[in-house]
Amino acid sequence: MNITVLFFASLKEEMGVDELEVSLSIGADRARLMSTLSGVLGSKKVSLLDCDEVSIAVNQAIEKSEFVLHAGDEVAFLPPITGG
Amino acid sequence: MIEVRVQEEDFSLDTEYQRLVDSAGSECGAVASFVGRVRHSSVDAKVIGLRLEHYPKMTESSIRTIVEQAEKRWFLQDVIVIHRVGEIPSGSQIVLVLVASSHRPDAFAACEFIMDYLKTEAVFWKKEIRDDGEVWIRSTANDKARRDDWVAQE
Repeated sequence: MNITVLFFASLKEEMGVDELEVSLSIGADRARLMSTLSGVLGSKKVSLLDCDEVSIAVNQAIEKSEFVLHAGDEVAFLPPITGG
Repeated sequence: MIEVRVQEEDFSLDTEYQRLVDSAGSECGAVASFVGRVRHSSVDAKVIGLRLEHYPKMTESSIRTIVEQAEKRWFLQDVIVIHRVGEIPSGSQIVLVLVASSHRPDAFAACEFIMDYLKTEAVFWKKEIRDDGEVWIRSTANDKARRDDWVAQE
């Protein structure tokens, strides 16, 4: 199944890309997503995504714990928001 | 009416004020407005402007949630929030909050509440374009303290 991954602000700069389509097996979880992203972007970059400061939104809702992805999901990596 | 707009274009306080009072009608006895502007100076550098990034699908709803929280705390008739994104030169307007209510205490308090929450909860990322380079900026401790004061009053 395919999902869309988005990076914003400083993370977009660090990843060098704002949007990626990745293919995952059905029922993929957070750990599977991270390992797939490591294959695409390299583990050094992905370590920047895997920290407490970075929020993950799945279909625009912040996920604080584990999650399972479905085909067509949109996963966004959000650095700390600055506010308005 | 709750109206939330995230846009690149500048806004006119006069135009938005007129739209607000036209909608609020004859029971509106108070309008509080706040206009935020981009300052020319940071702590240690000259600021040429800001670059604001947002997540369109999330940003507008994050602002709408803030306004809905304000509506639960105070009696409000109409609210307009406009926030600009993209490249915004120093000296420009960046955010507008307009609140219509029957009485001034609710209008003042809700306007301040919405602005304090916008500074900490709204989904924006700001980069300062300075004479010595570009820097991503963060909510300040003071911004968070102001938001926490409202939480303590709940």
